[in-house]
Amino acid sequence: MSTATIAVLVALGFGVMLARRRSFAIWLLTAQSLLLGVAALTLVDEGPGLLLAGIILVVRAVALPALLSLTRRRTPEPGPVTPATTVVVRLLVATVVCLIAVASVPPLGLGDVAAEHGAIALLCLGIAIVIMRRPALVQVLGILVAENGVYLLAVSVHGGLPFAIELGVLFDLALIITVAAAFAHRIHGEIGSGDTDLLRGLRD
Amino acid sequence: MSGLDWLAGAGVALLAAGSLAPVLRLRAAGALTFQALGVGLLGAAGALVLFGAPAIGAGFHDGLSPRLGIDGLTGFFLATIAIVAAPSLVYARDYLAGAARGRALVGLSGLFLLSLVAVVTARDPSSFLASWELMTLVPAAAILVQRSDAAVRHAVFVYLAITHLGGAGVWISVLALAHYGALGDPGAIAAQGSGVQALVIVSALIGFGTKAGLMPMHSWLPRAHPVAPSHISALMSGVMIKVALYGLIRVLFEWAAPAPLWAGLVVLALGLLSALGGVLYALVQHDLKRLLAFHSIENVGIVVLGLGASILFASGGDTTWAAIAFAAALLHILNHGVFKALLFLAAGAFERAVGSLDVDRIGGLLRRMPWTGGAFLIGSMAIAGVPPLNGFASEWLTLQALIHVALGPSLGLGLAGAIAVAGLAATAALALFCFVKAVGLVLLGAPRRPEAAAAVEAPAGMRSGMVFLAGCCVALGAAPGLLVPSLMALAPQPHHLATEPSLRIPGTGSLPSPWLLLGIVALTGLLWLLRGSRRAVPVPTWACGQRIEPALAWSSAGFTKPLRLVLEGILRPRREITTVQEHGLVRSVSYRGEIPHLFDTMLYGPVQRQALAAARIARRIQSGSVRAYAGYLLALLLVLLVLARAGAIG
Repeated sequence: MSTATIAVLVALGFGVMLARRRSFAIWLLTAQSLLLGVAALTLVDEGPGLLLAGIILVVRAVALPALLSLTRRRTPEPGPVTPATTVVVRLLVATVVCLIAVASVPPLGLGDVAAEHGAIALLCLGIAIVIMRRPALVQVLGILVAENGVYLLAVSVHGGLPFAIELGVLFDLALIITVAAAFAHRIHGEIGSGDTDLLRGLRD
Repeated sequence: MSGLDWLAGAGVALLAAGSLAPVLRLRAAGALTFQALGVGLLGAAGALVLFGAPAIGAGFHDGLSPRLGIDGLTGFFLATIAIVAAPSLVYARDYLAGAARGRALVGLSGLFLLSLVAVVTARDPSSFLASWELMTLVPAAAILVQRSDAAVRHAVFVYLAITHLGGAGVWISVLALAHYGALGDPGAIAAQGSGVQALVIVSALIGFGTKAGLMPMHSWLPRAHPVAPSHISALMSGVMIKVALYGLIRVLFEWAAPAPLWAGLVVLALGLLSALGGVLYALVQHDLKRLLAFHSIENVGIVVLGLGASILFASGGDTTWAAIAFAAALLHILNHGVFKALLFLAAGAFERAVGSLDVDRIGGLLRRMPWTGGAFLIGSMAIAGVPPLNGFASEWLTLQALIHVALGPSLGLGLAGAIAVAGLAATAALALFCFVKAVGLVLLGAPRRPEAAAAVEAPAGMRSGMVFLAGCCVALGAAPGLLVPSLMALAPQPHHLATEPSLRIPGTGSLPSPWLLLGIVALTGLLWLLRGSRRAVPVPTWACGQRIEPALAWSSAGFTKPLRLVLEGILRPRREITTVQEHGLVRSVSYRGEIPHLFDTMLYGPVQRQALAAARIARRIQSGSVRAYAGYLLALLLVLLVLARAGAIG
């Protein structure tokens, strides 16, 4: 995978971190998943592998974003959720986290250093999104960004991963995002907002 | 595939079909019959391998691909499982009739048996560990399916907590063995040096010892066994803790063999502690099932005494007596499985008839439930080591082995053996005392409450299961010599012994058990004949003119009072006497006494308090914020990356 594609993937992850509106963040995530899925398609040339990459592309770039868009429409916020930090701080934290992660990652043996660095950066960036953003739906997007990092690693493995593992991971991802979307919906139904900081009051 | 393969395969298929009762909507009785037939076929296959047929299936290996197989030792345990489980399942046909969630209980019974079979037939670490975990979880589910009140939930929680904490030892032991290739190549651990061998043995003792109920890791056992449905109690006490001993035997005598001398002494000490501690606490119990549970600890101790003696003999080069002590332990495993299952099944029948298992509130059941009472009497005599029943045969063999340890050339080992002999003798005497109490309070005397007076005999299915097990107690006691040579052949250094009903052990006196049985039967018959038609005339008991009331009868506490006074320093009983006075007159006096379980108060209590204190400290990082938790995750990830980069891990 080209360095430019990986750079765009990471930049889209930064976009999810910085986007103010949930709808825009979903679009950015969709673009990231689409780009990654198309790049994965170009890396396989066999029939079954192509079919599998196509299924993954449809699930990641179409089905899951559609589910999240539906959830967003069903959980309208009464007003903008107060950000935990300013855009500048978020940008700064995301940059520092990515730099530390990239600097720390040992050689993973994939033969593509850019992909290794990009994958680790996306993984850490996804978790950082969960930390820095308060809306439940954006935190789910953070999980998907982190998962895209893992998928980037998987497609960079020479010869790809076994189909059973790819399908298993895809099933897990679909299940996790479905449950997370259901929880986001229930949280909104209970407290009238997707602001997860309001959940702290539930601690015993 | 050989005929044996087909036999074992058919057994597994029937057992699995019976376990699917809730899914297939089978009738509970039909499903239990399937299970009993399945486990019977498996037991038959195991017995054939034990008595000389070639092993079937795979051998042990260290890889992850699942494999199953039956060798001699597995065959013995499969036969034990079958002898205990088949009558328990027949008993359960009537016991579970009309029970709430009976079908679910039937399914879980079958699944429990499948997990037990899987543990002993597993030939790779992944199958072994997976079935081990299943064996722990399924009885917990069975208990909760039947009852889920707060007391039972707490008992199940303690059971799961302790067996899982202790179970870590099983994982460490088995994974270490697999890592060093010792499952497929016994001797590989010894080649790694004493440190690795010690790690494996200590982990195995903790892990398997916890599940077997060895003191001081036994605390779950007297809580969990009494609250289970009776046929599950029978399987837990009769088989499950023996399957834990199977794991311990595999480690000590095969995978980590040869076990060093210190291991033999530790095993001997744990066995002695369990035997004496178990019987002492059993003596002061009021609840019949709890009393039986403590006797399980005692009998596991007796088995482990035999195993410890075998290690000591082997380390001293005496392979003959090592094999005899090994056979004694295996024989007691079978014998205890049989009489303990019988006693738990009888306890279930009593509870069903009377509605209580408090021995102070039953009484007079032998007349009202002659079949169940008779079977309970035989089981009680067997567990108390009364000749010529099976408990006597294996305890006699264990005692002979320990006497030979005491007579050994080394002073230290001789001392250890002498202490063990004295401990086992005291255990046997106390067990007899305890079952005189249990039989007297439960079966004899007058009923102490209306429910006991109105008790009726158990249905035929329940009776047949108990009678079969009682017959096994007699048969195994009458002809132990038919089995012991095959058990000696399973020892690491097998030794040949002639197969005959009596036990003829080299260098010691023999046990002519068939003649002993014949003599007792003849004497009883003679007395019967001499009695003729004479009958004792019932007359009222002289009670100094007082009206005879149940409160005047012997109580459990009263019967054991002399012993409690002697052992007050150890048992530390608590008493509370409350006197209510009005105008200088005593209106009422109430007495409350209990024997605290010292292992709980002095060992587990402080550990639990420290763990809770640590949890309170750890709770500070539980902020309730999703974002904070994600922060912990990111910090962990970055630290791991840095460590990997620095070469500290990976």
